[in-house]
Amino acid sequence: MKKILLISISSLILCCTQKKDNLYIYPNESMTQLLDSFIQETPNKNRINQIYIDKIGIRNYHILLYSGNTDINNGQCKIPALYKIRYADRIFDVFSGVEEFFSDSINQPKTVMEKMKSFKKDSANICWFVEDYNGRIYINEENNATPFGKKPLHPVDSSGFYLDGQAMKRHLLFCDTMEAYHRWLVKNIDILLKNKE
Amino acid sequence: MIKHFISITLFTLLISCIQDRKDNVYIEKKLYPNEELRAVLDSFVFENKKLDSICEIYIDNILPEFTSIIIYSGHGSCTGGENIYYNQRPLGYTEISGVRFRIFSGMEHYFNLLENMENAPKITSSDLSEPDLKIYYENFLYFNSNSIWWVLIKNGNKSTLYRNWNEVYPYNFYPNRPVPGVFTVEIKDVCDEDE
Repeated sequence: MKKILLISISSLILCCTQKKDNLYIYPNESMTQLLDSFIQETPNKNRINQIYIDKIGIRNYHILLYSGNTDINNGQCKIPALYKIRYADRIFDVFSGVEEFFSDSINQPKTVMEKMKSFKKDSANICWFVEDYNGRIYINEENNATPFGKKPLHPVDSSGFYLDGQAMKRHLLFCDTMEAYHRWLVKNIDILLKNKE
Repeated sequence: MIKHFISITLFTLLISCIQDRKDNVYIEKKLYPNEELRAVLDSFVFENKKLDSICEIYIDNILPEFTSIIIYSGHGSCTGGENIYYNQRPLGYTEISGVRFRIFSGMEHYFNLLENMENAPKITSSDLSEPDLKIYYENFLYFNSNSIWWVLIKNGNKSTLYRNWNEVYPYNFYPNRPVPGVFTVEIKDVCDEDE
């Protein structure tokens, strides 16, 4: 009887712990199409695979797809991904910026990522910089891509105000006060209006 | 008798746990904010006694070292129309003093919590009242006079918190300041700044 109880409790703890560990998410159709193409270019499974999602507007996104012997920051990625996907026998870490401010453990500070396995350097790292402008996809190969803040390489027609908005958001970050920002905005209003047209 | 009762209870719990996994239950991931963000969220909850039914956090990494975080509370989702249009659901949430904040970062545009989303709860206009949805569906904007927006700007190690910022749309141009010819939205007040 004791044995049964012990086994039941152990199984219960194990099962319910696993349930909470919902680390894995699932790509939707547009992402799987991208991944299928990317995987064809990276036949070696034993590599570090990362995806960075950078939402730059309501309908516009920048995505970095990376596969390499170290992480995208050449082994300097210190923050573990909160989400992962399993796709085509590979595991991709997915980053979006949330991991900078949240962890999946109540214990702070968050754990530093374990040292990456050292993979045999069999080929060069591969990185795609993908621009998704309201469903129009541009794929660009990049050698030294840095996650977040990449400039568009293609025109963004779907949201005419996007580029200005992004530039203004960035400028805002360098303004000490709202008044400084407002002065900058008023000074540049003609350019903004012209670009908007 | 007690032994039997314990065994049955444990067995039922076990089956329940296994069943949850089998059924692919839609469970958003609970996340815990870092110390600084936690303090801001605590203030948000404390200072806004009457928070609306929807509370959300939007993370926007603008540059590697610069991030804007929008904390929102309103009757409808700040991005309700967009979420319905693109079938987007938040992948995570955090809880502060009993208030549940849904977390968005852009990831929800490409990823789901379930492999088969037929089991997921339907996105309906319940997050956004029907008349509002009709008005704002085309450009997704959702404005409600009772909504609350705070914006936390992280610039390297420097943080600036803007309270009561009106009508911010995440990932879009903001703030909506009263600049003639550019914006038609009237802004009620000036933002405070906390360094």
